[in-house]
Amino acid sequence: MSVARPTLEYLNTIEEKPKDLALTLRTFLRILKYHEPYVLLIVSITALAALRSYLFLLEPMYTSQIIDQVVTPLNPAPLPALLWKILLAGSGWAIVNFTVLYLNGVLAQNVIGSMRSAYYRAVQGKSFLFFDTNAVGDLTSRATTDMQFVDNFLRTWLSIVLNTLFTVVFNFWMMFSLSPILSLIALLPMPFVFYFQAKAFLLTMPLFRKMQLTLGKIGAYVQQNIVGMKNVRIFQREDEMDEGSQEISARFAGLAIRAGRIQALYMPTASNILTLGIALVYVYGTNLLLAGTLTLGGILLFARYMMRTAMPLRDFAMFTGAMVNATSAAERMFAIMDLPGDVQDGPDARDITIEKGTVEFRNVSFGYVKDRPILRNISFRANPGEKIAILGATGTGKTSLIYLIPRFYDIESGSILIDGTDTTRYKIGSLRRQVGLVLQNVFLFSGTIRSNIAFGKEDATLDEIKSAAKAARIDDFIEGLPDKYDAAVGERGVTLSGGQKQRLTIARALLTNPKILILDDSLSFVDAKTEQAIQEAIDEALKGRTCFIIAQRLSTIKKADRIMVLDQGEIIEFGTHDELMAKGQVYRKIYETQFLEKAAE
Amino acid sequence: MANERSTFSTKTEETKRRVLPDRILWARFDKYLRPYRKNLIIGCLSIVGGALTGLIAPYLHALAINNIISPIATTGNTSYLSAFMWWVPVFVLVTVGNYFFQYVQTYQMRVLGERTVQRMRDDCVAKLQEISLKYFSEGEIGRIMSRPTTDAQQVRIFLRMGLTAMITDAASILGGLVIIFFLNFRLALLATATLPAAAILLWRLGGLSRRQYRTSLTNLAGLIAKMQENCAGMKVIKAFVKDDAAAKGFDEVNDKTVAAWKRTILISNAYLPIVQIMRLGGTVLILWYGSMLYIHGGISLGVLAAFLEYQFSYFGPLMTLLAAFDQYQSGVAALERIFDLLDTQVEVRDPTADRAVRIETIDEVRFENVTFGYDPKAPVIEDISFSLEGSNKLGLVGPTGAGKSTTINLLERFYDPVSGRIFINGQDVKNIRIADCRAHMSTVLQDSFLFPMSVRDNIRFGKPEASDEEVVEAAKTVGAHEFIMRLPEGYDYVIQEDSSNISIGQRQLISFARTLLVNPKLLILDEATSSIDPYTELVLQGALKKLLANRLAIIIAHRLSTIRLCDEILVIDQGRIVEKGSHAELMKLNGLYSSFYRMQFREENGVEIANTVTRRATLLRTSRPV
Repeated sequence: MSVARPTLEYLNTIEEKPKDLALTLRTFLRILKYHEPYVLLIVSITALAALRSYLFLLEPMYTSQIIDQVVTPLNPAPLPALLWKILLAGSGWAIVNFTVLYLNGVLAQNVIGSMRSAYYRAVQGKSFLFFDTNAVGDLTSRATTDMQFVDNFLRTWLSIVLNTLFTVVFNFWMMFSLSPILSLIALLPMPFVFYFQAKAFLLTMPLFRKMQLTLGKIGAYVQQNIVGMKNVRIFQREDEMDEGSQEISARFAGLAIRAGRIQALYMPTASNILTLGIALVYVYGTNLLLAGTLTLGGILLFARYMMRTAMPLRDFAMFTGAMVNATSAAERMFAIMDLPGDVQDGPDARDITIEKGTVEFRNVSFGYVKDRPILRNISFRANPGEKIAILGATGTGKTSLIYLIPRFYDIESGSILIDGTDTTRYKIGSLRRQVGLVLQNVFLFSGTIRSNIAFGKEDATLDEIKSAAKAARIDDFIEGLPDKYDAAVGERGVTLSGGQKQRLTIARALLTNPKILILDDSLSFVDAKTEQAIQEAIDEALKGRTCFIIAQRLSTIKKADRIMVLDQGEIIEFGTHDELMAKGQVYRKIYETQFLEKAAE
Repeated sequence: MANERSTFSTKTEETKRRVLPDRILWARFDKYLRPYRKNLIIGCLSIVGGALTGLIAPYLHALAINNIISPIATTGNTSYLSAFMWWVPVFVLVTVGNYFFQYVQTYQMRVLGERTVQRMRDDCVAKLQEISLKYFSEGEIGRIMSRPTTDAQQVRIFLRMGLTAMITDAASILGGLVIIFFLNFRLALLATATLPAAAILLWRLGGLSRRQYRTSLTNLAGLIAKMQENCAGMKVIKAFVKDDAAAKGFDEVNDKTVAAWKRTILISNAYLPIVQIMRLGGTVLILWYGSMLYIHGGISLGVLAAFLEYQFSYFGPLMTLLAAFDQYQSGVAALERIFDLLDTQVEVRDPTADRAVRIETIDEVRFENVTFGYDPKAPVIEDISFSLEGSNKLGLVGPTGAGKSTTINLLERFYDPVSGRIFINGQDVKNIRIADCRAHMSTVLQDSFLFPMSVRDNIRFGKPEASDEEVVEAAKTVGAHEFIMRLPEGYDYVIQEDSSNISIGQRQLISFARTLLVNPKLLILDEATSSIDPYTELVLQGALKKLLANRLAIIIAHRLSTIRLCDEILVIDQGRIVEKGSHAELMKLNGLYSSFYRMQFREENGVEIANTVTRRATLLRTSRPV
């Protein structure tokens, strides 16, 4: 079960102690904040809910009037009028009730929509570092599976709370008008009702929170299972993947059952305690009857109002459960939203057009974690139109170095200048737009080939797209497809081979016509013939652009104007091919060895 | 490049109108409930108990009014008060009993619900391991993912609340009906006169609301897909400063989902007022007829009161039944989606037990006129034939997209050929158990995927029982040991979900070690060396020879230095073998292969060849300080 082990170990570390109530309430208030734009809707719902509870009072009232005015005096005359009143009040209630539920649902969906949108924007605003350390499956699950809990809660909560509130208040008001003393007696069990509800709330809170975390992990697990499916099958670990999933799933069910037991224990107490109160009312009410302060119809009506109070209280008990679920789920979203965001524009940042494309690093040091530098004291200058190849073992900081140019990370010390201006003075958008990037991880969006190439420039004409595709030597392939440029590309561009995907991403970068172009490892999946073709196209496209290229093949590297050799975060060699060959150090050794491999045939 | 759309693509999902009859859905659902029969029976018994105690309560109310309060009211005789001495304990007992039944029922049904959904989720995940890889490549991962996650959750919501409510409320309503029929048949007929019409209406609207739920859940799955895609591609979005466009794209899907749910809420609540007004009609009829009967001496006051009481007591259950009915519709819509996945045909199957041939090793591999395409009309590879035996190495060369990976995917049995046959040790692969077949071969893929666990566990992924020493040994052999030791926690360094905390080259070395540890008889390299940097390649080139010794190998590579290790080379272009032979033979042929070869070495002439071995040894010592 080694695949599921990290997940299971993580789940073991989650405490099940009741976390502070304040956090739950804070989260709840934060959810409420998203209701702000819908004040009008909330006011309407509240008004309608009051009307609903009022109408709800009428039916028993008219029924008791039938007993007192029709049945007891044996007088059928007022009956039709009373029946019409019942019919009208009841229908009115049904329609108002429906309207309240529907409006509440609309409110909930609006809130859910804006919460999800806010969450998405927050996620999008995070840095590269965030995406390096957060699993896509988990991020997705927070906005979908977790959101289902929030949805489930929001859809009815206002209606339930208002119903409980108004019904309890109105009912007690009616009860008070019938008999104040009896009402006070009826109130006696209330503290117990609240005590048990509060107890259930506090006991289930940590369990619900843990359930929510487990559910997120289920999503993440399934996702990696799917993405890594080929490897799972090659190594025949299907059973293990299965067992791992089962174990996480079983944990979730176990937690849910434990929470269910607590709820089962406490939730029905509300209505049952209230029912017990009715016995008190009967016994004491009879005494009032004897004293002549209450009629028979009065006692019946009183008891009916009491029973009607029990119903919304039962709903309210469910409301607290749903609320704990929802706040635990929302907490997970808010936790992500509260993480620090991406690199920020400085106060004096401006839109600056890159005219020449000079790139200069001055004593740049950088690390993802403090005291673990990835790059140390990097200084160099790339002249306009110069093509610099970067060479170095895996993990020496090549990718980190080029990511610093469009400011995907902030550096620890030193400065990076483009055209002599510190990159922090550029608006990030303006900077990144002018730096073309072909990433190491080839990623295509679902859509068409055309939309993928035009990703960085949506208003591109088909001719522009075609010429970019031509430059990346992918146009022949595209023209051969039945739908040509409108051919669909699946998620992660999986219907294309690695080389084809790479060429598409190169076309994508070329279309934006950047002053500075960065190619990260991007030619490695392409066969020699295609690479040759792309190479020529890029040579052509690169004229007048500064270019950084991380490539694995020496034939590519050799063509660069200058070559930078990185080792453990430092530049150990930097110069032209001939200079480095003459120097006779690392570069020469690599060059010769690779060449010898081939020449040995 | 199949244009055929899978079950899980946006288009199919949004246009498909799948309607399984409830009967079939329930029959299948029953399979999941069966192991929890005990819980179901105890739960149902408690529900009946709860309903009974719930129904006794109004009877006790009527009793208190008729036999105690009413006589006191009319006679003023306090001796009736003593009856409270038995009435109060009975009432308390019934109430406590009702609580107890509610507790047992809620708990048992929760166990039932949670375990059922757990098993469904497990079945979904198990199914994922079996279905054709094409669903993961053509469909959108998020849409498949929605089955064991959001859809299972929707079923769970129904099971934890809805199912119990349906049984409880149906029981109380039924009990209430039985009692009122006993109290007064004619009155009862009137009270229930509107029920059949309500039931028919409910059923009709139920179908409508289910369709709407289906649309909403499909939209939700689309939202998952969108969210996931954007998160996975976020670096590209940022690099191209498309944040606003991406957010707009997300909002579109989000708004669509919100709108769909609003419609769902509208439709799923629409029957509430209708059914309620119908119920009200029943109440008014009783009140009218009951009062008239009483006035004309047809019934007693107690009966009329009890009647009204029951009328009210089934009002509550009716309300919750309606809500439960709604949850039922959403649960069923989600169930359909889950069964959709579970019903997906498994294309590559094990042979039946009587036909299955055991293989102990792989000595020979043969392709005979193999043709394959995801869409049979558009073959990806056509008429591929070759054979490989002993410890020979076969190289596959050709332009990207020529069908090289597809060829080996067939051997790995990710797919089965459309026509032609594949043999291992002279046996048709269709007669060999898939597990048997894969047990003796292993592949290093071009896109090496690591699982989010420690480096150590990743290396022993294919052989979980391997000792730490074996893991280190394998890592050393492929030259991964050095960089692993430089990672913060060495072999215990945990890989991130998308492996982004480790470079592609490092990933590739780890996946080499992983395969080496399995020690397969047939080794397949699917462009495994293409993304390794020159430093690492130096180390790996030596290791590769060791890796390839004494086994069969099929190597797809673009680097001719890797291909050079092969005894025979197939040049594949547009799905067909165009050239075949050893390196020397192919060079003489002066065809596609030799043009490839020359292109790669064009500029690298004229460098002296000397002291190969010494140089490499020196280089390894000096260039990789540890």
